[in-house]
Amino acid sequence: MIPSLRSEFVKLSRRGVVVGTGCATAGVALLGTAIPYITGTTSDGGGGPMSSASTTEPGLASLSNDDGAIQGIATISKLLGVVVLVLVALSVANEYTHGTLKNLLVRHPKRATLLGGKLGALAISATTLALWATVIAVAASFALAPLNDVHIAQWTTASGIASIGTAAIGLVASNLAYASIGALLAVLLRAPATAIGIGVAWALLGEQLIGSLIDAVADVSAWLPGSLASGLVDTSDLGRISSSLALAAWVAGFTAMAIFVFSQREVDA
Amino acid sequence: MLTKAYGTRTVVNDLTLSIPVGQITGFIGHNGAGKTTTLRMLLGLITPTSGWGKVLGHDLSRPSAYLHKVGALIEGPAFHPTLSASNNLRVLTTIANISEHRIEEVLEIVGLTDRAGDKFKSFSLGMKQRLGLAAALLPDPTILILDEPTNGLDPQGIADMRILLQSFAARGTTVLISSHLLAEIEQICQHLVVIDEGNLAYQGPLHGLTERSSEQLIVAAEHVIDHGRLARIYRDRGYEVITSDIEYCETLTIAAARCIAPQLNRIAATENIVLARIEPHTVRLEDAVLDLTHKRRSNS
Repeated sequence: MIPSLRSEFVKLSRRGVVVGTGCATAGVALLGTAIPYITGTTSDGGGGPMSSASTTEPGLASLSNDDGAIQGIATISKLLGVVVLVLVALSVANEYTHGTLKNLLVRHPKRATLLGGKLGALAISATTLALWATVIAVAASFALAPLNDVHIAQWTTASGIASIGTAAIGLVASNLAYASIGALLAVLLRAPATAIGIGVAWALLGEQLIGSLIDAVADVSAWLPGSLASGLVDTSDLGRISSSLALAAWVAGFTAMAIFVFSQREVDA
Repeated sequence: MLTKAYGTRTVVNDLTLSIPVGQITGFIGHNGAGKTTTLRMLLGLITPTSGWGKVLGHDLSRPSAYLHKVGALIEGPAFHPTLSASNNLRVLTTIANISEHRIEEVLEIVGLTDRAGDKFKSFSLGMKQRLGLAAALLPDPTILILDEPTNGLDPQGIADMRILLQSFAARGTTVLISSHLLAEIEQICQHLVVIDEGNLAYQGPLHGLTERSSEQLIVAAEHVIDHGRLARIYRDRGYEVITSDIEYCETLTIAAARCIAPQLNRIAATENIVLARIEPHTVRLEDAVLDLTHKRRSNS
């Protein structure tokens, strides 16, 4: 699996990929951080199964709390997830459309470890992007706060730093969830455009629509992967352990399904 | 013996192949005959519906046991467009634990050293093809499987490829080439496998097909002046002399199998005519293959 992982990094280290995903992530993080300062309101990320409904607080008062440096992240976890989903779907599905998969399989016939290594490299990239987004968001918060008379004393306390760490971990989990969705769609559809289209539609709209339909029968929409991912980024969410476990189950399920389909399907194109 | 079916359509039907070691084998057939499907089965990319096979002594169901000794170029060169030539090869050396030194070596073999840092998308078709060959050579293969390796190459490139493949065969590498350029196959291959509609139509030495197909013998007397008399003698003995202008021809063409040659020689000798030449009439590979497939379809 390690050779496959290292091989994937040869592709991921292309300047276009590094600059493209890095700039997209920075842009999204800056946007998320700036929104509360621009609109003058703050909100949470949408909540996991144990969270309360989305709240909006007037003014910038809440930004002076210990989690003020990373409140913006919660609002953009989905957008960041879309960046990761696009990266993963392109990386996996392009092996089919470019015809390079057959080269890889001739040189590394063990399919499960081939995809496992590839997804491992993409997971590391997704983690790096989450941490990069956190760094950008925190730095931007420190830059914007003095301009808007937001007190930052609480941000550097132990609980403030813990909030930053918790948000970063939540963002990593969220990115891994979207990465697993992108991987499964890419393996199933074998075409980047279709995989990205369906993935983005699911992330931005589909889950909410399906969630509302499901909720008519049973109140379970909060357990869908997108809701769980958003909930984990929101540091006020009280159901972190159950959300984490549920999201881990989704990620493991999507990944296992992708590897199973990849291993069984013939490479005939 | 391999069979591959997609639903009710059988693409490869009970195909039994033996590829001689250290030789260049041509693998030919019409479009859709099942060539690429067969190669994909050999490379573990698709699974046979039924049957079995061995590559380098290992079962087809365990491709990881033999693929580290196999180089392949299937259905044209496929690489990441925005990666350089050397980085595209690095993807493969890294995943297969092959020394990175091989990248420089194979690029030099195919004449792409100067373009190692250029992106694949900037390459001409011929250069892409050469990079595909370079990728196939990375593991220093015992078997080289090439699907249409001369596609896009200019005449010099085709000649270079021919010399290159012959040098590999001379070193003991087994080369299997699928191509529709039969003139190329004819020049380079010693062994031939012909498939038609998924069925084996012929396998054996190249000359076996070109001679078998004709079933004609070329006869030349020591003195051209004897040809008229010799033709009449053969006709009197019941042989069909195809040559029409028997008095002024350089050679006579007789409709007879190779095994009849001693009889024709004996007849000439009893008539005090010395034969300077008697040999099977070889036909072009293209004609031989067309003839073979036509006969096979007529019989089935």
